[in-house]
Amino acid sequence: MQSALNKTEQTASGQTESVQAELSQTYNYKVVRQFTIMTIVWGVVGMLVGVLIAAELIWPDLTMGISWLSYGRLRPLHTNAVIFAFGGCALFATSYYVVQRTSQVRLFSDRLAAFHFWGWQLVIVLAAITLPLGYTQGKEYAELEWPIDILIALVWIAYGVVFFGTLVKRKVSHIYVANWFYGAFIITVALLHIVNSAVMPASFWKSYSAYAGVQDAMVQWWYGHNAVGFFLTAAFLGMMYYFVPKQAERPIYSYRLSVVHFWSLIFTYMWSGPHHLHYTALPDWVQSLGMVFSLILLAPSWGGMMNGMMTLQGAWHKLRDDPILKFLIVSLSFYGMATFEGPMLSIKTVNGLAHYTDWIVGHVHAGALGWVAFISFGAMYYLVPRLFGLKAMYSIRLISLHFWIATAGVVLYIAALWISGVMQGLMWRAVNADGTLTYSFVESVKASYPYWTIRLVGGTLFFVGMLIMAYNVARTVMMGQAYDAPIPKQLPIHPDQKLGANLQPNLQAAQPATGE
Amino acid sequence: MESLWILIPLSLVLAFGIGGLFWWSVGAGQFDDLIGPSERILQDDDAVPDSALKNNQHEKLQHEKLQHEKLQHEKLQHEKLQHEKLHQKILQHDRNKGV
Repeated sequence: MQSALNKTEQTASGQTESVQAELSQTYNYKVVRQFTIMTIVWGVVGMLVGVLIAAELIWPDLTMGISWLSYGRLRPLHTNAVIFAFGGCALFATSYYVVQRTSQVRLFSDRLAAFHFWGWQLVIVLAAITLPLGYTQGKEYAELEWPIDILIALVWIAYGVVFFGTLVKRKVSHIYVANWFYGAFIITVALLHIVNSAVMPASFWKSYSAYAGVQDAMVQWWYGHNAVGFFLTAAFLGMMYYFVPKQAERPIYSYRLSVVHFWSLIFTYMWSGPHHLHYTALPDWVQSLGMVFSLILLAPSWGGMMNGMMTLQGAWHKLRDDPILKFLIVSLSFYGMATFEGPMLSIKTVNGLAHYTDWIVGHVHAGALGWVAFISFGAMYYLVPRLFGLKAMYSIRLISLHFWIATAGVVLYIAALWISGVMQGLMWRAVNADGTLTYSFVESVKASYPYWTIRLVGGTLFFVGMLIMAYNVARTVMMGQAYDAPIPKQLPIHPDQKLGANLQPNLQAAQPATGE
Repeated sequence: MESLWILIPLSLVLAFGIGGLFWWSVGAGQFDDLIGPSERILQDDDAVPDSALKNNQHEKLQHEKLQHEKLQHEKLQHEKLQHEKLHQKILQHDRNKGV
């Protein structure tokens, strides 16, 4: 439709018209490129802040008392940067790539997509300024003050319109499973954000939550855990379901399973928020509900993990020589680990030991580094050459180096915090024969030092890996040039036409728009 | 407790909305073919065609291809030689044995 409009336009130069017509025959790789590059940039920034705050726990005077470099101010900058800036851009880049290629159409609106990109970068920059200055709503992963929350909502609406609009105009009638995961993520995050960010503004940079007390806590952790469940899990599963089969050159192990575990996952995740509030003022029945659904959640999560892993049936040998595949598959093993650890931590008695300790931080980073970051690295290494008209990255060996350094970093990080976490939990609950506490709090801090040091080493290794990736991507971009793939006119048809009823894609739009 | 007046209706709207979406997807045949889609993404060729490579990239690729072919050829020659040597050895062995 777009190209027809352009054709009838009277243009001064015939060249512009044909360029326009040509444009609409290619996918919009531009916004994918933009988000891909920013994924790398924000990855470096977010992880650097992480390393800095880890160092501050070892050397508290490191930042000389400067308020906007202090731990309390920078921690939310770290979490927001790695989740929303790094993770967000990775999801936007890949979802725009996947929805276009699986629907065989260009994005619904280039202009809205551009607004999405620039709007999101503005959100991040505002976060980078306001959070260190101390403007915060005090809600984890929702610290940004209300003007930025409004901007996020507007950008998110644009994203939803572009993504779902593209699905509506698709030429392939079946909606590939990855798009279901991305779609669920978009809808849920909109709901979560709007509900949790409901506030009464007091001034331009200060507001008060619409909720109070334990109700506020419940809304916050309904949001917080579903931010994990939909932003950091469901959406990245969408990424997994496209890039693992593509890189392995094998179909998903069981497409049926992917559908089943999608519906069960999105249903179950919503209920698990209360596991953040065990042994608090939250009513007991709500805590139990959260615990039970968190335990049930193990099944659909592992369904996804198995599905991705078993896709490598008959292709395990590819892992030897392909570091991109290593990232993708190892990410699934960390995903499996974290989605086992999570349900275990949701059990009240376990939570009684682990809550407020480093074990929770270790668990977060097993998921964030091992699963989210690794699957993103794999997807980015897959995408970058294709977006810049190249056959491969500048250096495969550097991808491999990145993989090994990053894996070492993750393992050190997690192991150190497992030990310190359990130790903290045990020290805090130790009582003497007369009922007094055995240890003062500061003694547990002192005892944690060695493990925080190991964690710093692990995190630094991970950051070094990120720098290697940035270098590799920069060299690759310099080697190549922006490339937009043409939308194929001949739609792929499954060779076996007998199976299933919906194999024949929607051929309505198969007429080439230029009327050749 | 007053919040339940809005929360319960909202939750029902949401639940029925999701249910309706599921109903549509079944009716629209989204789940009729559970094999084709997994193959179809693999058939969608998103590799950069040779024609789209930058000039120096294209040449580099041609050069790499030639190098690879040369290597394969040398390997083959080497194998042939080894095979021939072994064959001679066997013949010699047979002669010695007076076969």
